[in-house]
Amino acid sequence: MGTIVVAAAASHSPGIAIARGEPDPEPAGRFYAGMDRIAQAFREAAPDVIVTVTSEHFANFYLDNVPAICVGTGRSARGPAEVWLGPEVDVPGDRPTATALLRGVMDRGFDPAFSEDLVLDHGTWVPLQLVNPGVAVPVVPVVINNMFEPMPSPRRIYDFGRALGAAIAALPDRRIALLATGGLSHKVGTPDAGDVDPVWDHRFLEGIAGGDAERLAALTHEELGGIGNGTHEVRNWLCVMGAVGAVPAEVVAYEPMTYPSWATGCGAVIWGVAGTEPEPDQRSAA
Amino acid sequence: MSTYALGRLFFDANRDRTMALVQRFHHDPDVVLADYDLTEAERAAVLAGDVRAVYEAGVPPLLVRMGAMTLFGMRSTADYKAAIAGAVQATD
Repeated sequence: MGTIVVAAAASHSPGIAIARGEPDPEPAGRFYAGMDRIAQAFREAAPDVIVTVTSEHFANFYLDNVPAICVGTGRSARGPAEVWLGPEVDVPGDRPTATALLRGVMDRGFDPAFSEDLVLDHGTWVPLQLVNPGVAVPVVPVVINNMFEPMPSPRRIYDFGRALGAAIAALPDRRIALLATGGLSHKVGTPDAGDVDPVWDHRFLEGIAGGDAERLAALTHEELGGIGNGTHEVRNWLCVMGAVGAVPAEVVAYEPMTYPSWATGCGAVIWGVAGTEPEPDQRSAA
Repeated sequence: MSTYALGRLFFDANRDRTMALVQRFHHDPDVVLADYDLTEAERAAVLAGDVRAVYEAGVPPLLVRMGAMTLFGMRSTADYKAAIAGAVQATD
C-alpha cells in the first residue's frame, strides 16, 4: 500500500529565494535552518514522489477558468514561472501516481480539475527547491484556489486532504512525500501589504502541532481574509493535515518577517508520520 | 469599470517569460491594448501607468502588484504602496 513517508509545510515567500538574509540575516538564518530540517527529513525518507499542495499566482489560471482544486497529471510540469527565480526546466511528474490519486479522490466524493500542463510558480518552486534540489524526485502538483473568490472553504480542503490520504493508502507500494506551501499571515498587493500577525500565526501553528484538526478546519474564509488576503493559503496546510490524520507536528521554524523583509509570517513544520498507520478509508458512498 | 479585460491584460503580460507582450506594449501600446475589450477609462489608466486606478477598479491586488512591475516598471514596493495608499477596491 502507499505510505506517507514524510509530510511537511512551509511558507513560500519569494524573499526566501531572492532576498536571502535581507535585511536581517538572523531570523532568515533560523528559517533556513528549519528548511534544512525538512530537507533532511525528505532525504532520509527517500520518497518515490512528492505531492505538493500549493497555491498558484496567475501562472496557470485566470477568471476564464478557475478550478477549486487542480491535480497535475502531466509527464512533467514547467517551472519556475518567474524569470527572477531562474531558468525554466522540466519538473518530472508521475502520471500513474497522479492519475491513481485523482481517481482515488473522485471515488471519495471529490471532483478536482486536472491538467497535463501546469506551470509551477514561486508558490511551489521556493520550498520545493530547498527540499528537492535539482527536482530529482518526481512531483505531482496539487493546486488549491486561494486566489479568486469564491474559494473552497477550509473545511472542504481539509476533507479533500482526508480523501487524498485515503487515496494514497490505496496505492500500490509507493513512498509518498507531502509538501504543503503558503501562508502564514500575509497581505499581498494591498495598501497594508507587509503586515503580519504573529499572534494569529502562533495560534495556527499550535493547532497544527497539536493535531487540532477540528478547530483549524472550522476556520472561516472571513477570518483568514481578515488576517490578510495571503493567509487564505493556509488551506494548503489543512489539506496535508487531513491527509496525515491525527498526527502531531513539530514546528521547525517561525519568523514574523514583516516588510521590508519577506512580508510574511514564515513558518515551517514536519508532521510525525513515520511509523503511523493511515486513517481508515473515507470512501464516499456517493 | 469592468475588470475582466483589465486583469486579463495584466495576467497575459505577467505570465509571458519571454516578455514579448511587454516589449510590444512598450513599443506600440495602442496595438496591444486593441486586443483587450477595455473601456476608455481603463485604456487611459493603463497608458498612464495609473496603478491606483487599476487597483480601485477591482483587479486582484496581487495581480495589480505583479502587473505594476511587469507593465509599468514599478519595481519598488515602497513606490507601489505609496501609489495605492488609502485606495479602496470596487466590488461587484
